[in-house]
Amino acid sequence: MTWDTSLLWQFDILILLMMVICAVTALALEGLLSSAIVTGAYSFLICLMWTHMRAVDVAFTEAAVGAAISTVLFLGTAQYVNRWIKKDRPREQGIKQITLVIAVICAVMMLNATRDLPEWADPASPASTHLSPRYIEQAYFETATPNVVTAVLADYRSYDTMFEAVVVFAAALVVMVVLRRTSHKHRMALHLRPKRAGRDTVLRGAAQSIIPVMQIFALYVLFHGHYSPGGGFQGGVIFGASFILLALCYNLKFSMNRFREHAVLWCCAGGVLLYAGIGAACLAMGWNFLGYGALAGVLGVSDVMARSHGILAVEIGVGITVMAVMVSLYNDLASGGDLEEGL
Amino acid sequence: MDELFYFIIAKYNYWAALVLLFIGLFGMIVKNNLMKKIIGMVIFQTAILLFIVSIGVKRGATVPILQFSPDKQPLLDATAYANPLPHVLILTAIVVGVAVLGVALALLQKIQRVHGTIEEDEILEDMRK
Repeated sequence: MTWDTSLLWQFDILILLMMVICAVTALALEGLLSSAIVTGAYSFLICLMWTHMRAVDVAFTEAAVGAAISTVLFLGTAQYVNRWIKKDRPREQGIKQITLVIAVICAVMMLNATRDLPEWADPASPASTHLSPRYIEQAYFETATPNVVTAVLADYRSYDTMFEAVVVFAAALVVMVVLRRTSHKHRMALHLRPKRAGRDTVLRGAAQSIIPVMQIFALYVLFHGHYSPGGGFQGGVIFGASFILLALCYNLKFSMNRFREHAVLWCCAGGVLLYAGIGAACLAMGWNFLGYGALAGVLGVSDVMARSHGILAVEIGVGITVMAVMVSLYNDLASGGDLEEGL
Repeated sequence: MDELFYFIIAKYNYWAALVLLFIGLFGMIVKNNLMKKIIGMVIFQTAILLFIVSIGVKRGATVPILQFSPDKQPLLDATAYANPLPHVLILTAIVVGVAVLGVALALLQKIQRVHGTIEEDEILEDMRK
């Protein structure tokens, strides 16, 4: 048995150990703010792990979503709740120990079951020998897209991606429905929000120079997704993060003047509609739903190039929805639903 | 000794995923504070994602973006690229994960407004009143 040294297992084990330590710390700390920060650190570590496992698209998404947006959402919520957790009572200590014992027994049983799993990183494992070789060998000739992940995401599994976009859209609506109606009695929670005093010139100056670059980079990530890691999800999240950065460095009112509530909602729905609309257009021309080959006649290119363009079009739809949903989630969660002042 | 060594490095990723899975599950069950429960949920989720991506790793493989020879022909050896399918599934799962996190945090804020606390036992006491 040979072991390929390009997968540095010592490095892997170090990162995984640090992840376990971060996970335990995030759960054990008494302050919610520090818990949120440690969860962000955990996301960065798993991001290193993704990169090391050659899942660059996943690492990209994790860096933008897990480490950046999630942490901001946690911090935005933490300002409305008691930031210190209550100490456990003795009675609960007993329950804790019983749960720990049960969890350890289950863990040992499942660890025992890993003996039946294929060896890690084995190229001949069942997962890597049936469907995926077909994708790798055929994707370029069928869709003219060198990034196989993008081709599978937006072409072979485009139904899946469309409904993922719908789920994200639905989440933004649910957050709005839950938080927007704040009765007078319950407005008290919003007074816990710390007041923002004065203006921070350094932060604002930094934001002014970073945000345009971020937005151009987001567009590059979206449009270059066929040839490099990236695509609609990553580009959309980075674009949304640029508006969140604006709201953090200035204030929520300022960013909402630049990207108004109505525009956010139209973008949320518009991206999904663009995606579904392309599918419906293909259906109208006698092909399958989301069978991009149908667009060949309209665009005046070959079937294969039409699929490449179709992938780009639905990625733009995904990008618009994800961008607007990230902004909407931040606006609602950080302001507690009243859209007056954010984090 | 060698066999034990290979046994460990052949499986360690699965073990780490399982340990994280149970840390997250333990947090979700035992923690009294709802925010901690949500952090447990995030850890539980990433553990599952780690497990699924681990399945797609191939020894000696590179990122799943086709490489081209000097005469512009793609190099099509399936063992030379990591399995792209788990990557696609996980990529979308991460974005859906943040959407789920947003909904969970919105419900948390609503609970804080209605009950004035996010500690589980105090909420239960408040509901019994």
